[in-house]
Amino acid sequence: MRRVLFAILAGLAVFAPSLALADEVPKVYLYVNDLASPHALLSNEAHDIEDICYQVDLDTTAEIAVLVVNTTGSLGIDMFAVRTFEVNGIGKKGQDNGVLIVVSTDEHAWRVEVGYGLEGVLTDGFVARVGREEMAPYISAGDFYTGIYNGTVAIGQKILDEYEPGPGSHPRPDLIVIDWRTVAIGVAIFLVISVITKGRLSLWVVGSIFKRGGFGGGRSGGGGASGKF
Amino acid sequence: MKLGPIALIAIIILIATPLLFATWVAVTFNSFVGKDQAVLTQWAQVETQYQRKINLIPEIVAIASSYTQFERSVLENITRLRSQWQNASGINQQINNATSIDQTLYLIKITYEAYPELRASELLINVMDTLTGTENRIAVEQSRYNGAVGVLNAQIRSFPDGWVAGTFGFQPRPFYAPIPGGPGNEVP
Repeated sequence: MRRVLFAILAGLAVFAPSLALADEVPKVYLYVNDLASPHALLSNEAHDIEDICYQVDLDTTAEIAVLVVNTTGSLGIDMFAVRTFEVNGIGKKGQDNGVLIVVSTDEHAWRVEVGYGLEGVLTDGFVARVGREEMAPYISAGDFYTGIYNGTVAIGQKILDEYEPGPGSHPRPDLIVIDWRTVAIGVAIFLVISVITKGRLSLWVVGSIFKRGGFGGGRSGGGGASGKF
Repeated sequence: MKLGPIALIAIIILIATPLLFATWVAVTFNSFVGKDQAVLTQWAQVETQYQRKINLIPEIVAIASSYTQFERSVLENITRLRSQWQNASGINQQINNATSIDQTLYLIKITYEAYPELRASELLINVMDTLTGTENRIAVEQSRYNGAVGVLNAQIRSFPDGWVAGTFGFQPRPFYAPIPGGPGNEVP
């Protein structure tokens, strides 16, 4: 009996870490993912940053993803970024032209993880400088928006200036993602307003349903830079 | 002569069993080949990234030499270790050598971190950022290598696949330890 118990425990000890590891990184499908609570970005701020990501994707097919979390858990921000990149496949398949900007609010840490295909354009030195000079000073003062916006602009501009997408890449961002949580909230608000106003609907709700994103299977291998703020 | 249904079933089983067995052996064998190849491919990735780090050494030494904060002996040592790495024969010698290189580079890194005035040099900042990025790449490729080794070794130790591994001589591959002072393994 004791032997059986030991075998079960040993089995758990082997498998538990790998199971935990799989759960430790979030699924992201939008350009801008503010998973921190309380949110680090207002919704119009997230939209501004999203506009840059969309433009870069449209012009070059390179995908920039922004992720704000409270903590990166036991992985630490470097491994967390690699795993998140891997699980979500940021960048186009075969081009590996993705970038992931991670900001962890509790650990006061940032990381920019660069896909294989962008390593030549976004060198470690460049990315480290962007993080240190464009992002960290604002974020450390509590201004997440300016920090992340500046970082995204600097990285996006560099990609627009220097990156040549390889043959066979899609000319347009291929997905428009529907944010179902906003849809649910929108429908609820719509119903309430409909009841209150006796049927005069508010159109603005529809405008915020569509958020942009959708990633295509890119890979990274630890290139980029990280730091504290 | 007409065969009864039982005899027919017996004949089918007699023919099918070895066929199924042979198919199972072939599939398992191919799965071992695939997983072993994945380990080798991933090891090549680790080596590529390590070579990238070795290639950085002359640049680090050239830039660091103009600052008195870096000890001359450390810089001479790392240059010597680099040429030893390049002349190393065999993987064991390379791994021994790699450990010394990592330790010496770590000395250079802590010196860089200890003197804030060194951060006035754009060149030095850039090469140190590149070194940090490269070490992170090595750490990532190592963890992927270890992942591939884990998958292979688990199958080799499992039953009945382990029997196929034993028959065809598939050996468990060794895990690789992370670099001292590298990301995720900071020396306190």
